[in-house]
Amino acid sequence: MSGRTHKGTAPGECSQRDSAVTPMDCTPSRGRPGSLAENFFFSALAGDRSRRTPSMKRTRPAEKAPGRRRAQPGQKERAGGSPGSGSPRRKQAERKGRRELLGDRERGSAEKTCGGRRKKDGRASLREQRAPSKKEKETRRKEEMRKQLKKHRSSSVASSTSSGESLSEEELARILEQVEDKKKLIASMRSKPWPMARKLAELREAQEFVEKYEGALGKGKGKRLYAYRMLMAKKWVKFKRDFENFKTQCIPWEMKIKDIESHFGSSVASYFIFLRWMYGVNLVLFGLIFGLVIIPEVLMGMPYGSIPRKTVPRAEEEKAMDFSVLWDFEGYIKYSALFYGYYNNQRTIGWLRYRLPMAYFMVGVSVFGYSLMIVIRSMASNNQGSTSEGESDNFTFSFKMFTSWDYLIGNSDTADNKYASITTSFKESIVDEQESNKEENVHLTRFLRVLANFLIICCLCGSGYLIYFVVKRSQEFSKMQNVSWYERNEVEIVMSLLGMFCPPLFETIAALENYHPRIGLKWQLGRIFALFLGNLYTFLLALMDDVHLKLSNEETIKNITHWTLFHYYNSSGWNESVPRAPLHPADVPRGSCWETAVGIEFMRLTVSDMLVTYITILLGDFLRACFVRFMNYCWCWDLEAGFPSYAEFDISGNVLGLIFNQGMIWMGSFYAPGLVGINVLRLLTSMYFQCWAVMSSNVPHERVFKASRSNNFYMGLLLLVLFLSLLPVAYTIMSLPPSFDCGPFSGKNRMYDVIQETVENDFPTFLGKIFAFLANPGLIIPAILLMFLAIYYLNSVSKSLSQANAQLRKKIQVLREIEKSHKSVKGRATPRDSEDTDKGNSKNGTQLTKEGTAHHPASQSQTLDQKAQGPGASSSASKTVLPASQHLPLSRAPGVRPESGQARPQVHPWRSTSGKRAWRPPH
Amino acid sequence: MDKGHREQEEENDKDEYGMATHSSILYLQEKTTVGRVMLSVNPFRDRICRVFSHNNLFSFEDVLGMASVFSEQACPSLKIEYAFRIYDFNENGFIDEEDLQRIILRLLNSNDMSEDLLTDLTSHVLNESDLDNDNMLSFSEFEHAMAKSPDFMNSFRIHFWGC
Repeated sequence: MSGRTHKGTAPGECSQRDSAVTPMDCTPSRGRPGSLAENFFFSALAGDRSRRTPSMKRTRPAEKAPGRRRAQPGQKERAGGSPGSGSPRRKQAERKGRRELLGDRERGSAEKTCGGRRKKDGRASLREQRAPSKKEKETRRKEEMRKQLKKHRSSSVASSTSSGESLSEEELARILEQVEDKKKLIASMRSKPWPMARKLAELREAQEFVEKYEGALGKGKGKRLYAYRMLMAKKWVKFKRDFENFKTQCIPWEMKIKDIESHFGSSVASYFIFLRWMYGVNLVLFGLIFGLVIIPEVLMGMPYGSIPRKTVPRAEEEKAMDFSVLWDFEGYIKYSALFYGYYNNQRTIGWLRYRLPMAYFMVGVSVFGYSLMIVIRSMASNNQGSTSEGESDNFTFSFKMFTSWDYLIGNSDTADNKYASITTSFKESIVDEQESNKEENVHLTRFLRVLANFLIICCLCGSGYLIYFVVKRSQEFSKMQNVSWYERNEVEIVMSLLGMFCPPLFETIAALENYHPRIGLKWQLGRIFALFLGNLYTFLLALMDDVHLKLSNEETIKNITHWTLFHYYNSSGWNESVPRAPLHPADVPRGSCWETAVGIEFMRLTVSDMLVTYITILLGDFLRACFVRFMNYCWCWDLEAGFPSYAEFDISGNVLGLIFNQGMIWMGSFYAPGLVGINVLRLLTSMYFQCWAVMSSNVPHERVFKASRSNNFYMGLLLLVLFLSLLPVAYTIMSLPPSFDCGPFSGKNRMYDVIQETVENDFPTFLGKIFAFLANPGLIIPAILLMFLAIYYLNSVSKSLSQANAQLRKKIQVLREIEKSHKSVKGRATPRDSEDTDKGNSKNGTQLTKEGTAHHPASQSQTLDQKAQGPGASSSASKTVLPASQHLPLSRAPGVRPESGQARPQVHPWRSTSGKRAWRPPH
Repeated sequence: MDKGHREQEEENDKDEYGMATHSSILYLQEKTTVGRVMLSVNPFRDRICRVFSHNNLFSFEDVLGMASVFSEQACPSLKIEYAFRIYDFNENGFIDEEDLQRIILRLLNSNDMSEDLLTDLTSHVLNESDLDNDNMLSFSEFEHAMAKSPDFMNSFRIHFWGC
């Protein structure tokens, strides 16, 4: 529903929508706002009808065409006086009476506004004349000419078509050209700066014309084929439009985000858009993993309890269903399809002979592949919009002046903040301009900055060591039997607390540095990034230690397992007639599956991170907001304005949190396929929760920054994190042996052996040979070298191009300077005092140009009038118009201004001639 | 829902001439789309109304035109064109010093700006964008500058009807 209005507001869309309306349905809706909307709603219906009666369609406009323009006032009268043209209207009955009563007055008002509208149109046409591209102007002019031509010929053309006579080649060609022109007009209608009413009128006219003459061009068989093709094209356009609308409707949370956008400006909304994008990416990953790994395993794999790796060991059995155990992802959850260890190393499963280990490996790889691709693609598409990045520094003040107001802002608080930020930015930029490098006490600032950096490095090291220490300690705890809740979750708690308290600490320290806020923000982001990254990597290192420990123990456990099984079966060896029941899988001793352990760590980290985020929002934002709001009545100072006040939405912190969370997901998803599912849930809930929290308990930012600039910055961070999370996973896959008794790759030397196995067993031998050849280092190394060479070459090409670009820019700059100095010399030459030459010059210039331009609107409106009634007017009148419309666009070319004295005499005759004609311009 | 809005609009918005008056559209927008239509705090609201209305009256087509210009899909040249009209306070076809000073005053939302700052800012803007040195920005100069702005398309948007 929202999509539809949305689309409907765009001019191009509405033109398309109207394309289905036949001429007879298009009652001119001037002065009657209702009919347009109704036309919109019933357009589909009307379109159907029109398609069913092509003969009518063809004849009707032909009759109407010649006198259409003159018939308009009459139609308007009809439309005003009575609800016209028989389309079903809901409010018709109640309106009818009123309208009949007001019929006269309405007409009066229409006439009254007509004058005003003409004035406005004069204004509109002024701009239109100086419309951006010259080409457009030219086409406009041509079109005017053609209209006049058409006026002369249209009656004859219409009659000839209706009588079925064959047209001469010349006329055919001309009509074809006209039709093409009209089509062009329809296509470019969207970008025309006209009032909507005029757009609609022009559009209808053009469509009518095209519809009328297009069919006439083909003859006989071609005609029918042509009609069919047109019909299909129309249907296709309609289908595309519907599909677009459908797609727009399918974008989730559009309303929520727009709501936030209008309250907080575009920067806060950019976080939510990023969150939504992330949700989409995770949904795809979730589909991949669930569709190709988890669901096949659940449907076709061996059921729970059939083999040791799918069974809870005897020792854990009685506690396996306790909530506290499940909460730690132990017990039944540990031995489920959510984790790596549950999967069997059978080559194929089920009647489909689905190669699960292979699928598992490929999905793990493609998760990274897809993520890389999508991140890079979105970065590239972000980049495309800002090609002229280098030149933007030429226009800092203009940009500040004209684009600093965010028109989306609809909240008065945000507006106040915006005013404040604009004020500071104006002042800042002026100060920057005046004294770009003014340092007062260089030594003190330097000392403070070094001190601050030292403190922050201390903090980072401390937090790294703390995490390492805690992870080590948790390995101790995991060997002990009954540990408390805190001891079990120490790692997660410490990491979350660090993530919560370090950023504010950094901010406090950064106050020492006395940086410009913009630079300060960058430092702050960099430091938080370093903190998160350091924490993550210490965590990984500690985890890696643990993994190596487990791997070294594996050999002994393997022996024990073998021994137990051997013993069990051999002890009953003497009674061979009754084969002993196999050992219950729960009793088989087994190794500590390190892959599952890693997966569980990541799972716990993700969940605790989510909980900490939510609790922070609840306590830090919501409760604070409640406290400030309600205790303000009975407190000694103003809480809202004073110390606690409301929380701001921390965009950069939230985005970084999201990015690192995603990094953990990427790292963990290979060892815990269920992790992505959890993450999808997390993103879903945080979308709703954070939307609510922002709207209910946050205030707009004081330091408003633009969203568009930082967009690619976040994407770059995401790419970096993706790369960094790819490293440990690749390391474990390539260089650690998988556990011997759990997971899809058990029994293999390395995980990637699964590919080799598949190639050898399932593919024909020659393919295997090709693969072996491709994997040969002798081929890979040259390929890598070639890639390096290509990168080097492209890099040098881009460098030389950018150099050329810079030189061109310099050239333009120099030309501008020369032109300016030339002008100012000219200005000095005017009889003025040499004292305030600049001011005098500027004033003189303004006066001159004002005089020069004052006549423009007037003359423009005159020309428009003439153009409008051109077809009806004599050819001599139109001849006088054309040079005028030619003259004006030329006159506004930069640097060439009409001398006021010259222009005036040209103006007056037109005014006098057109003053006599009281024709109304068609909009 | 959009239909509902439209009908509502028709009813609220129209006086007996089928035209919305200048004040009634502001009122209407606040009433129908509570806080969604952003004109209520926009410093250029009167200019927007002036540019898009005819004789200070809004017909349905005018509202539609306004919505289409401020929509996300409108093409940059159209947006720039209308931005130029909005910023052209005295409607002489150029953004001159007077216009620039009025823009600054509105952006800063105060009337007690120091004269120095005002002239400083205007001279800077003109220095950057005024290519032919006539102390005013013509449309082509304005377009030249705005086409390079990374933020213009983002900031020159308004959500109507909450969608």
